[in-house]
Amino acid sequence: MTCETFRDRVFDFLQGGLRDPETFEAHRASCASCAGALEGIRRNDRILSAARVPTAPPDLWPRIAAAIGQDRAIPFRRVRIAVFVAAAAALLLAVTLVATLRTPKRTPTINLVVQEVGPESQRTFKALLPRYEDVDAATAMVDTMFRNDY
Amino acid sequence: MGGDDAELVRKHLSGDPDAFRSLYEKYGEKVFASAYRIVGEYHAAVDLVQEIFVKIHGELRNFKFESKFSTWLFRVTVNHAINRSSEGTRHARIHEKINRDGRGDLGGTKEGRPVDDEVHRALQQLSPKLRTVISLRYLEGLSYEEIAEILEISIGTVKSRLFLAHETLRPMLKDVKLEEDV
Repeated sequence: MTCETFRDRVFDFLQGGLRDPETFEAHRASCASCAGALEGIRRNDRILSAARVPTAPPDLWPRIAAAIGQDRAIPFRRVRIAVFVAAAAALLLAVTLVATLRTPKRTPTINLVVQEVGPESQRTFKALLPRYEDVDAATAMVDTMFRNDY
Repeated sequence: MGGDDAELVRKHLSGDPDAFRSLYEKYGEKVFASAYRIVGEYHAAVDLVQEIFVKIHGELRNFKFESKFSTWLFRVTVNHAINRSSEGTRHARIHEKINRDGRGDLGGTKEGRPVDDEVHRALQQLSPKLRTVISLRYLEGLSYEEIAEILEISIGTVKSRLFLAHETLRPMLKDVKLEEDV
């Protein structure tokens, strides 16, 4: 083995990837220069692997974000959420408007009828009111009862 | 390429800004470390990393999904850093000396260890190309194959450069004391 071949194979040897390490070892034993190079690489390996570098400053990302405009732009995901919420709100408003316009205006005729039938109906109304979900339902029931009786 | 990276790149290309930030969070420190090793000066490395991420933000649309994102990113980093290092080696050394004298550290969280300073000074004596292979091998822990792909050179050339770098560093690092030596 020549010194040049030794140099070509030294990293494979260090990784344990040489098919014939005996030839490599034999050259090392007979060549002080190559033996020194191998030991130097081993020592450098340990030193270089142990050496550390400083960390990046914490404000590096904000600087990059500013440079690419991400600090001003609304994130895409938030835009999508905002569009969805706005669309849902618009749809709800439209449905409410349509429902309101289609619903005929109620007149307080039933109430008037209830009031007209006298104090008895008022008492009945007050008694029935807690059992029903709303005033209109209680009023309709009282109206029905008193229409039938009177 | 790594599944996570490919997905993040695709999300970025579809307009999700969080994806680009995730790429930065994954690779920012690694890119900074390589840039610092190659250009040799803290503030120059900070500026360089900013330039690199701004550049790839615009150029990811041209990214071919044929190679790993990390390979592509390190290639961009190394090319920028070598160019910058060649442009301003002298200026960087003066700047670094001023910073070191003025602040007494290297600007990071692991400052002050003699081995770090001695290795850093020794590496700055190498040519940018030799510094780069050492940086990719020992800082990033990349294989010879990965280094060859990033630098677009043969594996044999990677090993030749590594050997030359080690031979150059050997006398400069001979007096470095490791904790295990003490």
